[in-house]
Amino acid sequence: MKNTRVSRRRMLASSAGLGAAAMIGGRGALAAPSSPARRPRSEFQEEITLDVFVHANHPFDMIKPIYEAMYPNVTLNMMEQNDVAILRAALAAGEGVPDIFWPEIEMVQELGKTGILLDVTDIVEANADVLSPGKTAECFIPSTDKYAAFPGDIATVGLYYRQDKLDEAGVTIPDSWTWDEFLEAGKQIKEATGAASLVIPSGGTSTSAHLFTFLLCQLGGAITNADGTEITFDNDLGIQAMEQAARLYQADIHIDEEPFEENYFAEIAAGNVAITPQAVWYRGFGIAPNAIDEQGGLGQWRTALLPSAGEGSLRTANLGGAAIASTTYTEHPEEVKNFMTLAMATMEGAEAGGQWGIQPPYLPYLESDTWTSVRDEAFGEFSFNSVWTQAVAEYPATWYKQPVYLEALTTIGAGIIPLLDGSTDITEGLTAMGDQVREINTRYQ
Amino acid sequence: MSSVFVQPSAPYRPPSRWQAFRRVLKEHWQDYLFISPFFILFAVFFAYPIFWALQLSFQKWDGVTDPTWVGLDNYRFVLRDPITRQMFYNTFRFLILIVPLGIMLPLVLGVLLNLSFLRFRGIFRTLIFIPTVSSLVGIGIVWKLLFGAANGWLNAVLSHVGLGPYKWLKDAHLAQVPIVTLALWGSIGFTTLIVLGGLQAIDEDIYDAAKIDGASPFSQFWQITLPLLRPIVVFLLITTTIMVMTLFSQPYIVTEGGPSNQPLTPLLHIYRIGVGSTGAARIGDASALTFILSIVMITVVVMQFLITRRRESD
Repeated sequence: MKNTRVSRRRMLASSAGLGAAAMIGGRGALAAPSSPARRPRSEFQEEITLDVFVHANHPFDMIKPIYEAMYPNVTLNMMEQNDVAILRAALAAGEGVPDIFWPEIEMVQELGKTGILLDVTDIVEANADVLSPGKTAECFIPSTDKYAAFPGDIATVGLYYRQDKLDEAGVTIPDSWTWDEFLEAGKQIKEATGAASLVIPSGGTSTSAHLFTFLLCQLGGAITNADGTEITFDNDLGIQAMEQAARLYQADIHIDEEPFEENYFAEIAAGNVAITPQAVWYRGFGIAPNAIDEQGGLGQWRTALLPSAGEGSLRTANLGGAAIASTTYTEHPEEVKNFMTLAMATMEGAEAGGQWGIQPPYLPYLESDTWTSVRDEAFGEFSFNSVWTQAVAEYPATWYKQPVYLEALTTIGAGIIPLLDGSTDITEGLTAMGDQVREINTRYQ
Repeated sequence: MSSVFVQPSAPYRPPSRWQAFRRVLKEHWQDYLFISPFFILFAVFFAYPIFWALQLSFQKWDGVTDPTWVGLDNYRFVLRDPITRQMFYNTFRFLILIVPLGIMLPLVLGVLLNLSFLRFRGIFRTLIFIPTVSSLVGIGIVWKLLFGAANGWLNAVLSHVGLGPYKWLKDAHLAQVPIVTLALWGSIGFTTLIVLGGLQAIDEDIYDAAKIDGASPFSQFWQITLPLLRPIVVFLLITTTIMVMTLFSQPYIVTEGGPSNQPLTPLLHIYRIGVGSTGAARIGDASALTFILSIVMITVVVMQFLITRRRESD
């Protein structure tokens, strides 16, 4: 048995090692020295290279020169690779594991429980006062009582809307309103302009469940409890959220497309979208690239907090947002922690990430003029980031993303349309989904 | 009377298996050396992973922590899982849609491309083979654009005759169309080539004799071509069935397994749970499902083979 384990680890190690070597080799050939004003390296400092798994065109690329200037003996090897499968293969082999990577929160929770992630409790606690509490809570592992990752981008959710379309329909977004009032406004907008106020794909993918999750999150509910041992989305709050989602769906003010795909982008560009509830990162992802002329709403886009989902409702929700993590395999934990702190808990790092388009968790930056004065042609002179700063203040600490999270969303998405269109009883349908996810959740315990 | 005394000799002992093996090895070691790369590669990249996967199917493993032995628990779970039932049902539906068309279309195209009076046969044969050498991923993306609801090319064409727009990629029933057509399109070149090979192997004299007897073209096809192509048809039946049961790229690229898991195929589901693209990696469950799928595939193919062989002997 032992021999088998050794040989398969070796086999995986060879594969991962070869892959990593190829990538390192490739990057080595391509990487151009870009750090300005490097400090001279001390003769006594050890030369260190940290392997970093990143998405293509990632904020880390903007943080790299700042970090390397600050720590001249450390080189960040940016490997444009953040594929879950490759990361898992590397972890399984114990070879080719990056020093720094950018996992989603459910992966932090999954790997954090195993103890394979680097314990960063010391730096998180040292910076707790300046970090978003909601985002910080996502990196906490209840079973180990430690922080397994450093807070990354905050994915607050709000409304993107077109001022010209609302003006045409005679609709004004008040400071405080409910989803039912939103529904009426949506009907008014559709009647006057033909444009939609929601996007609900009927394709049965996890995005079909987004509106439901926003509402559930606003109401203080969650998919699971804090440690992931219980499935909670089919409780009373879940039913309340689903009933509201069904009312919105049946109002027929939505576009039936995937919000992150070309067809919906085309709808935005064609002026068929008046309002869309999306995360902060959707500006760079879906709005700005498609609001390139008058038809697409150039200069007319605005942001607002979500309508209230009921008593005590939050005005924002959670849609994604990663963290920075490392593993116990790293040979340079201090340098890794320095990077994490610089990237997400200093004005320099937060500004670099903010320029790229993420919403960092560093509160002084989010309250600074640097953040709120960011402008985008699609939004004219509107300070869209001011709205996101308000949203951060309400960002929930109870939207738990345990390992079963994605499978739960997939299950809900696959079965949600009959609940939304009224062909299946909401309580019965939601309970059936809950039971199905409970079965799956046994695999994660 | 003389007698001959025969000294009893030692009884003949055939060489043991090991001795025989050593002798053969000694005589033919160069031959074995030359074929050994295949066996080494087979052992490392096929046999070992299969046995390891079998072992994993009885273990709970997330790819990070040490695996733990859970006996038949993975098999019990995946067999009870409603998604397993759904994916096998989907596969059955794809079998019904794709297998008959996957046999009939190459037969028709093969016969047409074999017509001696057809001009530009070479060009047509080349064109029909292009899908085989095209990247399925690239074509999958084209398919997605083709069948898009708002800006899809197909809907644009249909709108000119007052039809649509149809949600080809969103509707649970319509979503079968892009996947079925993509699967057929991708395989048509190879299968037509096989049929063409079979047709060209049929002796022309048989057709000449039939013509003298006054057989019509249809009758020639029905009485001569089809019976003589029976082995080809059986081959197509089996390979198309295997192709359908192992569909992955088509649903993955075109609809990502949606809508509502309707086009979810076994391999796509195994990939999802094994790699952890929709959650943590459940490698034990994925391995168990792989062996269940293998058993189902072997059973279906053996049944097809036995049925067709029995008909042949009848």
